[in-house]
Amino acid sequence: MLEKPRLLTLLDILSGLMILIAAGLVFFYAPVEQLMGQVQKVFYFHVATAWVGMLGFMVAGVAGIFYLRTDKEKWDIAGLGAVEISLIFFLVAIILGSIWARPIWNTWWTWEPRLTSAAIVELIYAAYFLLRSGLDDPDKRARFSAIYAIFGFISVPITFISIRLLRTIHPVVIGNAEAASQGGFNMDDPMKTAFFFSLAAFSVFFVDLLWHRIRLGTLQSEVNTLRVQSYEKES
Amino acid sequence: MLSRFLVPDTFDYMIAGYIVLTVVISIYLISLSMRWKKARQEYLSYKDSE
Repeated sequence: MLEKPRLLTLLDILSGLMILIAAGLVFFYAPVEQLMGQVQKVFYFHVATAWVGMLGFMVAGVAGIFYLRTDKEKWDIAGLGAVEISLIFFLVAIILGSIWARPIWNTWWTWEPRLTSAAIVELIYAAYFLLRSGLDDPDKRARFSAIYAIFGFISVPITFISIRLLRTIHPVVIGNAEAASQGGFNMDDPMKTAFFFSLAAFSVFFVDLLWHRIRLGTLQSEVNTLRVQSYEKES
Repeated sequence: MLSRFLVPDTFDYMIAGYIVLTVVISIYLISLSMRWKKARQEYLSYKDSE
């Protein structure tokens, strides 16, 4: 249990290398966008971190379904790990978006559909931890968390499609943008390469982190079992 | 040629963005590593006392 799998070490190296290559493509290969300047380079990792956030919330929902079907603790650990990682990445995506918006929209924040729904998603998943901390019984905690993660995921596709359905100033990079959107641009081939490679790099990084987080959760669970056994022996 | 002078200077915002990204993810990685070390230490101490 304590020994690190060889495949995980390889995944660590692969994800580190891919992130470095993605950064290289963003800074040295993709051209500077002429209307926005250097800040447009934030976009590559803004989308990649948002993607990882949404991916992890989906993984948590799927893990929740598996937990309810099997009652196996490993699915609760996987769901918790996925939400924890995604919450961090989604927060980074929101902050990066805000930093991009300041020079482009002339404001750090505006209550338009995408930003508002993204903030709601972040709060929904922050509340997931409040729910867990409020329940002492491990079975009840895992069951309620699974149900919460499944229903919480409804907010994610709403956020994704909000810029495609509603009137918004948030740009749509892939697909047709709303006429009112500001800060959109057409990607040339080097930009597309940097963009899709960043998505792939962050996806691999997410799998790597999730594996680490599941190992941690499994070890913590084992420690809790040993702790209970130790108390029982003493008493 | 003229367009080179018209590109807005938003370099500081880009740097701020990448600093936030690096700092937040580094903090998470450190937290993951510290929690692993703590759990490992506890696990080993319980195993030793068995």
